[in-house]
Amino acid sequence: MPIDFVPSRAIGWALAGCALLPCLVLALSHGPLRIAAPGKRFVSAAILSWLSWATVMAMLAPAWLELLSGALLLATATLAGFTLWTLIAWGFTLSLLQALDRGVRSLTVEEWALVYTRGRPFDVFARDRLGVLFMLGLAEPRGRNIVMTANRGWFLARLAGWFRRLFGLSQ
Amino acid sequence: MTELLIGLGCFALHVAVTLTWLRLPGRRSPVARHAISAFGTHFVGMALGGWLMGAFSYWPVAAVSGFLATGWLFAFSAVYKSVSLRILAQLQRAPGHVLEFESIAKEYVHPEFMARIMLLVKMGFAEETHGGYALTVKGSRIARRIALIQRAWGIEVSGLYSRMASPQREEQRERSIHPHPHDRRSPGIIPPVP
Repeated sequence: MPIDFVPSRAIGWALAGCALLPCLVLALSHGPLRIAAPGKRFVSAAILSWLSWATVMAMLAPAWLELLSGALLLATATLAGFTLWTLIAWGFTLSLLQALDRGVRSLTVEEWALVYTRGRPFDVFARDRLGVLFMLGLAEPRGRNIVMTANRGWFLARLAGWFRRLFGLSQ
Repeated sequence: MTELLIGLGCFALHVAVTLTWLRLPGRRSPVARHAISAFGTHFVGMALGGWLMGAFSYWPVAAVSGFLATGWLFAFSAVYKSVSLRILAQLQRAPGHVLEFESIAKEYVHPEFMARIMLLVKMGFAEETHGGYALTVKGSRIARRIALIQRAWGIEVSGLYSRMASPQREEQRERSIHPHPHDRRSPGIIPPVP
């Protein structure tokens, strides 16, 4: 079963692009280049990695399979990196654990919620998660009500429901 | 072309294994099941591919199966844990696809908060005490490690998508949901600590 494990030049550059992504995130996390918002920071680092890779590919002009494989490798690194980034930057359960660590003694549920939201009402958390739906155009506020949007919201809700059923998760 | 087919075959095998394994009871977490299945099916798929189709180059196979497996895990994580998607699902079920903000906070978000607390207890990171909840030694160790990682990556405040350091922005968002100041408080609101 002969398998060639040696990466071609195009694949090698794609792997370098994958390694560049965390380095760029780190570079944009400290010092004069720092981007304060974690979301913008990751997106900027990802764009720079992709641009670097695309520039090298334009010079190399590899075969289509090499180009596709390189793009998929970089897409994998971007998606995996983003998943980890969302965990450390916005992860709910991890942040709860850290909130409990910030408390000097044992906390009631109410106190825990307050430490989590840094002294603000718990509604702040609900608004924060709703903010994602508003930003993506999946729902919108109408006075005191929250309304799911007809096209995008309906489509994504159906898709999420389909995936939940597929994965055997309760609805 | 052979490589793409083998990569797709690895992913098809991974889908079959995860969809079966996720439905079976067991102590291993769903994410661990995804990871074990992804690596296991990758190696099995490559061995089968080499046996059936002859010589091939490894990296295109790794690119195809790696990307699809990561996307598959991303889709699972989104529907498994996302609070925002849970809210969207509740909106879809509600008559007219409309819910009051207070109802979302009280009936859907607060239970989610409790569910995560129970998860931390179940994982042995927190424990119930007379006065509420406290960190276990294991939980404390993990929390400090996470804090170190966050410091290294320049993350100051975690847990909320919006910047907590900007009260004006919070106030603006609050006004967009509650145009009348007297409507702001709800039965679900926890009073601030003096």
